[in-house]
Amino acid sequence: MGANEPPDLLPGTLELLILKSLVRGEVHGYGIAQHLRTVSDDVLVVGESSLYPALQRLLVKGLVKASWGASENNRRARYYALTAAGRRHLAAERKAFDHLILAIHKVLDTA
Amino acid sequence: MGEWLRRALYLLRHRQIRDELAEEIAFHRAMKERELTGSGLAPGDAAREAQRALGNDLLARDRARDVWIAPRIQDLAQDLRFAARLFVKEPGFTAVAVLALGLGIGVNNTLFTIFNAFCLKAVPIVAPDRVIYVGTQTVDGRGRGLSFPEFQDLLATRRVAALAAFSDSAASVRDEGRAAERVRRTHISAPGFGLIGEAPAIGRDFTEEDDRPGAPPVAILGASLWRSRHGSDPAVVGRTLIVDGVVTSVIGVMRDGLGFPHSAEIWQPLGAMPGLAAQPRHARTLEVIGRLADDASGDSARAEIEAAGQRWASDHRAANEGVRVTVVPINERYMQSPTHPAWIAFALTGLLTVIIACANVANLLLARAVTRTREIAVRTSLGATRVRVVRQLLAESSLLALAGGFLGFILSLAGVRAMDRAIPAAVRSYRLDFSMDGAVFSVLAVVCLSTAFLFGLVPALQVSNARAADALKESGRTAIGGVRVRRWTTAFLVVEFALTLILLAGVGDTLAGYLERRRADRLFDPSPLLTMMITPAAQRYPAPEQRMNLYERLGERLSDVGALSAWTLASALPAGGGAMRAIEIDGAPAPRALRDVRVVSVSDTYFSTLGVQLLAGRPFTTAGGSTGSLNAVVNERFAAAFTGNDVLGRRIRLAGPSAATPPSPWLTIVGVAPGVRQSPRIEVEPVVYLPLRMDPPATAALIVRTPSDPAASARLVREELRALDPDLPIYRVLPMDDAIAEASWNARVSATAITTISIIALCLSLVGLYAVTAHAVAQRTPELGVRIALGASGSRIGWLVLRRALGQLALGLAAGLVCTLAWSRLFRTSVWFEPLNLAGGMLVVVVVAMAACLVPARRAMRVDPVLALRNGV
Repeated sequence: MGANEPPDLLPGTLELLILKSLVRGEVHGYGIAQHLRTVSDDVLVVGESSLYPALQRLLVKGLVKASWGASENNRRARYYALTAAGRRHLAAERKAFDHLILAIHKVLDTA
Repeated sequence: MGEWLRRALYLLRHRQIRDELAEEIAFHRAMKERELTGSGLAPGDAAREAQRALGNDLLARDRARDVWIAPRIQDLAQDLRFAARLFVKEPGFTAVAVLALGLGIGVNNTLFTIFNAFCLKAVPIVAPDRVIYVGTQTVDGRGRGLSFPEFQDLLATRRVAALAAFSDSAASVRDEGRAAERVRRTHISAPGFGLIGEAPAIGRDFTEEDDRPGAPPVAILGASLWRSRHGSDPAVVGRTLIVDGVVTSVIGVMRDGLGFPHSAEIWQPLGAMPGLAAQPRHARTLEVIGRLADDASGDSARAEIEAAGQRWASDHRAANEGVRVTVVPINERYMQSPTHPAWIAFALTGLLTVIIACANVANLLLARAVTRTREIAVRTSLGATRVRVVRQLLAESSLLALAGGFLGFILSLAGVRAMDRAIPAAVRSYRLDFSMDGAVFSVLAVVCLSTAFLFGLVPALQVSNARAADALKESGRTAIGGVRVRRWTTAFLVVEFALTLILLAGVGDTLAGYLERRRADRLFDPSPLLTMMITPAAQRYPAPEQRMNLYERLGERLSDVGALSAWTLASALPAGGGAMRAIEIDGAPAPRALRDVRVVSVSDTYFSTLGVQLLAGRPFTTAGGSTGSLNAVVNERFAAAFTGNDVLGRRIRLAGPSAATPPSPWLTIVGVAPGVRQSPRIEVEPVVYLPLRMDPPATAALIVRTPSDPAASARLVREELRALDPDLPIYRVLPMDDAIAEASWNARVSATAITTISIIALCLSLVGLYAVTAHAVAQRTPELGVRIALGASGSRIGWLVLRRALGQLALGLAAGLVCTLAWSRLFRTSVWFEPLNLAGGMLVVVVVAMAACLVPARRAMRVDPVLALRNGV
């Protein structure tokens, strides 16, 4: 809770966000967390205890694959990349998410 | 699918994955630190801030791992590892528990495998549920086969696609110039092998041509005969054998292990069976099976065949008087009925043993539980729920159960093999297969898992109930509810003793019968006696006079042989059975005990050869059985049951073997013999000995007294017989000891089996009572110390200890009496409930129990009060 959890994320959203972060190419865990924080203007702050379990879930489901490589400062880091299944899943989940948000908006906007 | 594969891979590489994750998180942290240092924090502060910002490292790793393996399974793995460590630390306890379980499960598995082999395994032919067996049944409930004309009538049955008949008999087989050998032969009609889905491994099957009467004689050999006579020569097809005096050519060899229908060693076409075509309608000796047509059901075929039976009843009234056609699935005919009380009792005995073992281990666990209170209390106070604790204790029980199951499986292999060896080859059907199949393994698995709950649940519930606060105090001894645990302990002991008593009652009965049989067998010394059987071929010696003639000539030749000091012929060996006949007594009604007596026809040298002295009167003379010498000898059991006075000189008459044949002429009783056992099953019964001439048997037993080498004597007899009739083999050549043992193999094996099982049960109960009593003494040491310090004598202490044990014992025996009564009512073994038998059983249990309590009681008496008080209060 607190600084370690994004506020009230719908379940599965974290995975969706991670998948999106990988669209442009391979990123390591820290990089994903950075990306999410930066793009969302410090709203979405993801701690290790949420990020890494989520990454493991994606690995189990075969939506991402991981490989070890050298980071910017020449330390060994694990890079994640989208698989074909991951891409398909991203597109489908994005659609479903939009659909859901639209529905929520409709309810909230009706007087 | 890919997901499961990935999860499986995780299991293999989990350590590597764990290290990688740790490294990954460390990298993440280092990057965060660098970021914070870059924005101005001092390195130390940066590290702390990074730690705080990113959160719990361990939590991350744990939750990551939870993604791969469900937390439940992780808990289970942890429980099992812990349990294994505990058991390794206490090898004594583990060994006793696993041994107890192994014995119980082993006995159960052995008995179930045997039960499976006799009652549950289908006949090993192709699609047995599509094959029916057709027979007849007479009014008095006896089952018979069909006659040849009836079989031919059935060939037109539309709903049966293929029909075959067969008949078992014995044949003499020899090569030119060699002595004959007796083999078991089956005549089978041409479609027979095809119907059951078998074909010769070498050569060809019978065809309709071979089945015609008058066709050239052919035979198919069984694999064992092929091996023994032709040394497995593949070129055996076309060779000739002399079967029953007829030159026969071999056309094929069946595969190894086939003896259809029972234990056939050679097959011939049905058409070659002598007297087949002339068989009257009422001579019902053929066994008939049929394979249903594809579109027919069992019921429709049965209806059609029963309709045919009705037609026979009306068309041939005389032959079908009181006779009914029966159609059953072939499995029902050849498999033992699993619902028969004897078989159910058999299977339940195994379950009883398992339950005794479980009660035993439950008590052991309860005793050990006291030492775990502190550990459980710590767990509970750290937050473990009762469910979690119980789960962990059940994991321990499961591990014990698995180990016990494995040991039990190994033991049952030995048990089944012993049973396999104990069944003599002569009575065994080829279908009997003791291999362990899916059914056996399923039952083994279920029993194994159930025992984990059976013995594990109560101790787990009791132990996890420990009140944490009390347990953590200095003297945590009273934390486990004393009275409640003691009640459970007593309950388990009661179960153990009760079930053991049932088994002991069974032993008592079996053993008593067995011992009496052995005593009866000692009336004569069997060691110098050699036995063999001969069966003159029915075609060559159709009339009794011709058989008698053969026997007389054989007797003459044997008397001339020096090496044999005595010989005799009889219709049955001692313990070899014999015909039962009804008798009439001249001048008095037959008492009930003598309504049906066993009748054996013997030569005049019978009693002298056996070395048996008559108790009164004299044996037959050589002329016995001819007119003027119509005599009989009875045994002492007959004489004892004879109403009135002396049996010598009285006259009796035997009823004919069937209603159609006339009774025998009146016979005068001239001698009384001792009660030599004749029946293989029952103890000594009334026997009437007739002169051989009155009823020359179709199969005769020859007993010779040979002071020297029995093998040489057997050869001598064979040669003498061959000179008389080359096609007449002798068979079942056995020393008298072995012949009697083989005849009563059933009783012997049952006695051994139930005695072994009872000893196992008794040992388990002994160990159980010992453990409980020893544990109770250990518990009460401080109390006993106080008593001794206050002046109680050693015997008083001993009595205190024994009192509780005796109470448990008494309850157990009482329950045992009730259970034994229930068992005997249920399975109609009312003999078990005889007072003498039960008293003996109870005595054994009491003696064993006292022995078990002796050591703990003495230990109690030797308690050092100072030590006890110091450690205790």
